[in-house]
Amino acid sequence: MKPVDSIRREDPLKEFSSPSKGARLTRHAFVLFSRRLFDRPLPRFAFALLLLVILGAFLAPLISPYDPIKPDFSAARQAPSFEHALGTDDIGRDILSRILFGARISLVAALIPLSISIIVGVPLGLFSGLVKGWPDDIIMRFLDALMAFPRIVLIIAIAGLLGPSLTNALLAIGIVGIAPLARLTRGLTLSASEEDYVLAARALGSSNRRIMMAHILPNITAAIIVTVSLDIGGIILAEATLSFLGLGIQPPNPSWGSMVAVGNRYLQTAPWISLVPGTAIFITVMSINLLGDGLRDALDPYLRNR
Amino acid sequence: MFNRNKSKAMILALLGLLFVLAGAVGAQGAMNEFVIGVSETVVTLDMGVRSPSLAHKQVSYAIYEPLLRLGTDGSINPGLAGDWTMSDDKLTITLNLREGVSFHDGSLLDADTVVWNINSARDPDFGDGALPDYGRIESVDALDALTVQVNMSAPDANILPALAAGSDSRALIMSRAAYEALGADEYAFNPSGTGPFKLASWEPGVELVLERNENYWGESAGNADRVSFRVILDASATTLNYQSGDIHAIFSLRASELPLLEAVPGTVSGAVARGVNVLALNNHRPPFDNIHNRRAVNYAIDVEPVINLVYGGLAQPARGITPPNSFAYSEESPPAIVRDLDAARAELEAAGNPDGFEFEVSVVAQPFRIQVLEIMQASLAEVGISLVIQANERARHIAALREDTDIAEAGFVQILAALSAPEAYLGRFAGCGANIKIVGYCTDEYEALVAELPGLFDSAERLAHVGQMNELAWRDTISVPYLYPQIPYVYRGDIIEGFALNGYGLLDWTNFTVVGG
Repeated sequence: MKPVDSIRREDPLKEFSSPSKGARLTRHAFVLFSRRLFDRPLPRFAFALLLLVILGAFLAPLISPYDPIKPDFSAARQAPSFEHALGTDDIGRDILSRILFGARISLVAALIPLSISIIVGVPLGLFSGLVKGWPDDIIMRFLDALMAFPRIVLIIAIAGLLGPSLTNALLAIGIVGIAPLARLTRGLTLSASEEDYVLAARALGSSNRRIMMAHILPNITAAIIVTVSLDIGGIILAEATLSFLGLGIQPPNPSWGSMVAVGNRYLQTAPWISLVPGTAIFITVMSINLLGDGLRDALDPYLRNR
Repeated sequence: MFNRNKSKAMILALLGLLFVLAGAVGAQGAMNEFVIGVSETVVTLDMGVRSPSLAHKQVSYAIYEPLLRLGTDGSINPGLAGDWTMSDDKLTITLNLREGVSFHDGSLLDADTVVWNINSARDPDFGDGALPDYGRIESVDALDALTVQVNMSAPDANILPALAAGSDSRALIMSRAAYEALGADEYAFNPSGTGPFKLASWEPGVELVLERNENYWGESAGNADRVSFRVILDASATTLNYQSGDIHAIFSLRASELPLLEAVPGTVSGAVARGVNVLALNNHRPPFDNIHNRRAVNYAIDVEPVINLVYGGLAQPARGITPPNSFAYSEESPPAIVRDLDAARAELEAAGNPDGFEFEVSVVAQPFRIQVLEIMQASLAEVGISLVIQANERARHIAALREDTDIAEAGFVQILAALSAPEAYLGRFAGCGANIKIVGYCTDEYEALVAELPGLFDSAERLAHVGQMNELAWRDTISVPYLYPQIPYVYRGDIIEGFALNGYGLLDWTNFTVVGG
């Protein structure tokens, strides 16, 4: 049997961890991790794009050339020009200004549901995977029932029940996101709990809580981070779908999804109305996905050295 | 040798078969047929069940016919009943049916079938329930094989338009034999009427094909053998299908698509006035329990951008709730809405809220409806009135309009139906029995006029009376009728002739001529 110390070295976050504080990232570890993440051009490029979107959202009130909700009927459906860099929409609102303000909604739309899914889903999966038995059965059957419905149908049903508002739409997306994340966490927990280092920790008399927090969670974090980062794109698209259906952000406030919906009527005559917000969604989702790939590579002990 | 001969014979036989098949295909290709693109799916062809879909209405009037026909000027003309009489006391209508009219299932039209149809439409347990237009019918009798007598409990000037299925396709005549043989559920997909076209095939949500009724009793000037209704839910996809020649006509389309469609060679376009758009104001509670606030909204709304940006110019500013496609419409009274911001501010002052107020409008979450309200938002904001859009799913929106007056202070209403009774549009909003309950306009003065209406058989007198009702609704500014939309349609003039919608938005099914393709 391997000594406990050598087993713990298999922890992929081990290098980033302070020996005395378990899995917490130290400054040094963070630098190492960042270097590994940004060593490759694609994650660097993705991060730069994402930063641009975030900066645009934060600085929207300062840099927007026009009021995003005030229409100018005489300038409706104008193609991109010096006056309106990305053109105007169906009732003459500046698309660039709406894109900048819409970025705020889309980013919030990504973070809030994600937080709900993580805060509820990860502990639920950890608990279920570690405790097993009847609590596991009950939790998993409930989650299975949730997952039996197509994701977007369930989101629309919940958002429809709660009433059309951005908060409710995000809540619905978050609730629906709990089940797959909890399932993933449970699966990872089950697998990790059979590993030698967990068995060793048990043999040394560690409590369930300590095993969960100090041994299993740090080992499954990489997979969770990657999955979550890949999910962000899907969440932005879900908000876009809800706004498209009128269940998300209420007009005249801009969101990328509702902007795409408006432009749908003018795909052949004024394609920029849909194309511009569609491209914004594409760029954001793509950068998050590329960054997710980069995170996976940086955190994966096997891919790291290739 | 024998084998070689046998092979040759087989090859010849196969070639022969191919020629026969090619001939059959060629013969099929020679049929005069065309395809109409529709954005709504037909769900039933049982006339006991109502449907708001325009496609449903078009198909219904191809398969079925009414007892009488309603002219766009309000005149009553012969239908399945060749003539009719009304007693002096207006309590008895005698309908003389045409002889030799057969349904698509082969059964003959007779008085018993008509009595069954009218009684079914009056039966609250049949289909979608009793037809309100038949509310004053006391009984129906078959006097002989081809004579039907309708007995009224009280005179009703609307009974003839009702028998003409002017506003409700539930008055169309179905084959009793087919209905009873198949049962309601199966009949809904195997309809049998007397109309110039019959159902050939139907894949719900995909395509419905009608074929010419060779045994049609009436005259048919057209030569179309088959007409297909292809369901394409997305308007942009419909346009692409039209551009590629896969569909040849569209009778209900978005104004924004019209320039693209008109650019297709051979295209003929047109538009028919149809219905009215109304911002229905909740008169039950603040802020619209105060007439000055209602008037302020009326004066402040800018209709022109809505007409130009949303309807592509295919609409006209409203003057009252009764639209131009109703023969009760008047060019003179009530006056058209003229935007006047000073008058709006004066009304706000009179209402005691000079800085304006906020109100929520319930609307079904559809981009074009939202677009209309966003334009209104901007124009009302100029006088300090804040319109908040409450985008609801359909059921909640209908509840806001018809059941629960606490949901919103106003509702987006678009009536695209062609209603035959002159007071029908107004009746949706005004009066104690109005089905759009959010308005809640129920005064003794107005109700007295409503009560007198069924007894007015003289057309001029009746129109003057409805004019008075319109004036009252205008005086009290019960809501904001802001525009009369037109429904544009296009068709390939190089392929079809005679494709036009009448004042009720219906196609003339006896007049389609396929000239090319």
